[in-house]
Amino acid sequence: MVKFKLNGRDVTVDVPDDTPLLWALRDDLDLTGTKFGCGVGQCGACTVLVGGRATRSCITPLSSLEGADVTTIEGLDPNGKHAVQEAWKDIQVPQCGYCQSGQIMQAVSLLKDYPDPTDEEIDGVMGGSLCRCMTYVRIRKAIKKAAAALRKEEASHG
Amino acid sequence: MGKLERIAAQQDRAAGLGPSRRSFLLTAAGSAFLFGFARQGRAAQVYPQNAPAALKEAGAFEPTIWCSIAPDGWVNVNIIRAEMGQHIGTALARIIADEMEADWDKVRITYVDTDPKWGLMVTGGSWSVWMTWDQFRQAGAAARTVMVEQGAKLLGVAPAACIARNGKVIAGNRSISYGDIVSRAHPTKTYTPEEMAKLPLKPASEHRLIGKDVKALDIPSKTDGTAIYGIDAKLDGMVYARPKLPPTRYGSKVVSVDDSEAKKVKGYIRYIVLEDPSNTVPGWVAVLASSYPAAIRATDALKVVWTPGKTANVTEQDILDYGRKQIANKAGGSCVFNDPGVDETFAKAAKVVEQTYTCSSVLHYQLEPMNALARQHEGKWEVHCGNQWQSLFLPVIAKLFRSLNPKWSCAATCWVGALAAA
Repeated sequence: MVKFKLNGRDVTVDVPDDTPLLWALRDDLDLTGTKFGCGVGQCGACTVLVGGRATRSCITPLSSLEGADVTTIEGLDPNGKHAVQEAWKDIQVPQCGYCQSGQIMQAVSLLKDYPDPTDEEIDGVMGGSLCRCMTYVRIRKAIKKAAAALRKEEASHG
Repeated sequence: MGKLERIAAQQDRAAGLGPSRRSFLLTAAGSAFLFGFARQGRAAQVYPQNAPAALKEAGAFEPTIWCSIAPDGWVNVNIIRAEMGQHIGTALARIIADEMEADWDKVRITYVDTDPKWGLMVTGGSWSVWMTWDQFRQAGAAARTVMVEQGAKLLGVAPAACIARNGKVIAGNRSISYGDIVSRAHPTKTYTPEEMAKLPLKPASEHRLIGKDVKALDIPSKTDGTAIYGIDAKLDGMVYARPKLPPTRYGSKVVSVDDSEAKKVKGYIRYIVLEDPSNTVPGWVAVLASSYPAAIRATDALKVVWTPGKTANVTEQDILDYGRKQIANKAGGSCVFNDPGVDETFAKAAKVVEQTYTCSSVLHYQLEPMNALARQHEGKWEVHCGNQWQSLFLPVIAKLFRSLNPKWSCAATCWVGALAAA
């Protein structure tokens, strides 16, 4: 039995402690926005935020999450309008879309560390999130657009 | 049969060849491998109710099987092609929406079941848009014609005094929306393909969506986690099965299975050596468990001994060598396109440039793991999975279900969900 915060709410999951977070999210908590790709932390499709950091949920055992704060694509913004999501729609990033939840979560994490990322910084951080449709060029463009929107937001609050 | 297929079939007949030489195309089909069967268990179900009959709103006007206009003005377009990263739903909906002068902000798409009325269901070869073009333009024209006729009546003017634009019928400074026309006039007119073919189409200069940058209809749901893929489908009480794959695609036979380690995995139920009369999955052992991760772990832990098929020791070099032998043998190999006169022309050419191109075997690996959900429902088996060629896949699984019980109705359906990638 593991208790943690999921998208701002307390949840308790009663499955074996060594179950990867991915499966608890998808099958026990019915949040299927987080995707199963490779199952070995190599493709990035299962990326969520744990304590605000991008984390591969397919290799994160529930036992490591007691008391942690987990955010999935469904919890990023109540209306699906986080700056990264808005940029993703404006630039029309997704094609098949299967990797995109993971891409978006990874990008959110990236922008915390690099509010004004260069191409090299984007490639360095996003390089572990694979896209079979090759949406990489638009991903890079959308990250820069979201970064600009977030800096503007920050400035108006600051 | 599509135009390309017809051309190819004619070529085959002319050359005295059967259809088998294109059989290399068939290997992509029929290997869905995550089955779910009844299990007692949890709540939340995610099951695509995407047959148009289930979606059709009360009072919607449906001039053809391809589209409908609801009383609230929403236009639904039925898509029989597989969405797999190419935004095919958007491309096809745009053809109908443009011709019917719909408001693009009120257009939605439905990925349909495999009812025979949809005709040949295959997505590939860059066929979808051009093969659907005439049909969807005519379907759009049919909807527009009825909207103008009925809208003119409601506005009290002649149809010739009206234009259709952006989901409205307009006469001078007055207008009425498509939704209002449907809810007030309750049009019921339907069109046969012959009638549709006679309707006047818009000239290309009047295209307002085709050739313009529009927002793809499937994108918003792919940014907030709400898009449902084949792998997201879920039924109460389902079990999960994962295959233990034999060493060769064909011809491997199971000698023995040891599940002593698999039994240690919590949630492991049992294994089944598949007997498949369709020979789609020969030598497979299915590992059943109560959850997806348990199925993965138990499959990894299961030990199977096979007698491998005769291709067990074929190397990459053997395949390349075989290819070279086929090229050298004038009567061998596969003729993909017969272009008469080529040999004569080469024989007469002043200079012949020869080059061999090779391609190594690679795994066609999409990001979404192959999966399918099956259930027996109201006397029928239904299979839901991302599938690129339903017309080919359906007879294969129908044969399988019939072999299990000849009494079973086998009108299985496939969910044309978003597939991971082409």
